[in-house]
Amino acid sequence: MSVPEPPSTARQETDRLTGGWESERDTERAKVSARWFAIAILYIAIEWIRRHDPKVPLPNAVLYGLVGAAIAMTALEAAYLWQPGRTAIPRWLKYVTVFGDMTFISVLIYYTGFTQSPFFFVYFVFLISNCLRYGLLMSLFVAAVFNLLYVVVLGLAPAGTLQPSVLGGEGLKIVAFWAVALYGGAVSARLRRQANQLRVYEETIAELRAALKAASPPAASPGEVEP
Amino acid sequence: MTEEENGRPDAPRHLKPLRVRGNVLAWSVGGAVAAGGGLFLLTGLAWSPWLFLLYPLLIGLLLASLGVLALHLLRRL
Repeated sequence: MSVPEPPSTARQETDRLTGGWESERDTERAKVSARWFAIAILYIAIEWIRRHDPKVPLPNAVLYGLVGAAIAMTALEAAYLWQPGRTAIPRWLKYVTVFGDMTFISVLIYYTGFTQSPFFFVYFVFLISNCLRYGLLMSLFVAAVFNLLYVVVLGLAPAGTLQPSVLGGEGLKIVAFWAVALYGGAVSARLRRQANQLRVYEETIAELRAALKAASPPAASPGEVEP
Repeated sequence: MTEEENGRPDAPRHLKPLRVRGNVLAWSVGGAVAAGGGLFLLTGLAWSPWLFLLYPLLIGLLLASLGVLALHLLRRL
C-alpha cells in the first residue's frame, strides 16, 4: 500500500504565502459585507432627502420595495458565499451582482430627480470600487451597464422633467464616466500585474529557501564535539 | 527583391507595398475623426437621450482607430 507523500517544505511555504492572496470568493464576500453598510447608508440618506426635499416623489411602496429587494439579494448572495465547503465561485457571478447593484442605483435615480439626483455619484463610487477589485474588463462592463441603464432612466423620464444639472449636459456626464472607467481600469490593470509579479517572486524565494534548506547538511547539536 | 515581387500576396509582411499601409492609415484616421466627431455632436447637441446608447459604439471605434493608428505609426518608425 502506498502512503501519500507529505507535502514538501517548499510547497508548505508557498501555500502559506499564496493563502494570503484574496480569491474571487473572498472578494465577493468582502463586497457583500460592504453592501450591508451601503444599504443602511443609502436608506438613511433617502429618508433624510425625503424629509427635507418635498420635490422628491419617492413613494413608500417603492422605497421599501427597493430596500427589501436589496436586502434579499444581499442575503441570498451571503447564504451562497458562506456555504460550508464553498471555495470556488463561477466567474459570471460577479457580473450578475454588479448588474443587480447598478439596477438598484438606477431605480433610485429614477425616483429622486433624474438628472438632478444626488445619488448619481454612487455610480462613481461603485465604478472605482469594482475597477480596483477586478481590473479593466470589469471597469468596461460597469461603464457599459451604466451607459445602458442611465439612458433608460433618462429615456423613461416624463417630458419636461429633465433639468440640466450643475455638471453639464447628460452626454458629458456619460463621456466623463467612460473616461474615468477607461483610465481607472488601465491603472488597476497595471497594479494587478505588479501584484501578480510580486506574488511570483515571493513564491520563487520560498521555493529557493526550501531547496537551500534541504540541500544544506543538518547542523550539529550543541553537545556533540567534532574530533 | 524587386518592387514587383514585394507586391505579391506571399511576400513577407514587412515587405508588403505601402499602398496597403496607406489604406490602414486612411481608415484609422477616418475612423478616429468619424468617432470623435460623432461623440462631439452627440454630446453637444443631445437630440434625444436614447441616442446616448451609441456611445459604447463610438468610444470603441475611437479607441480601435487610435490603437491601429498608433501601431501603424510605431511600425513605420
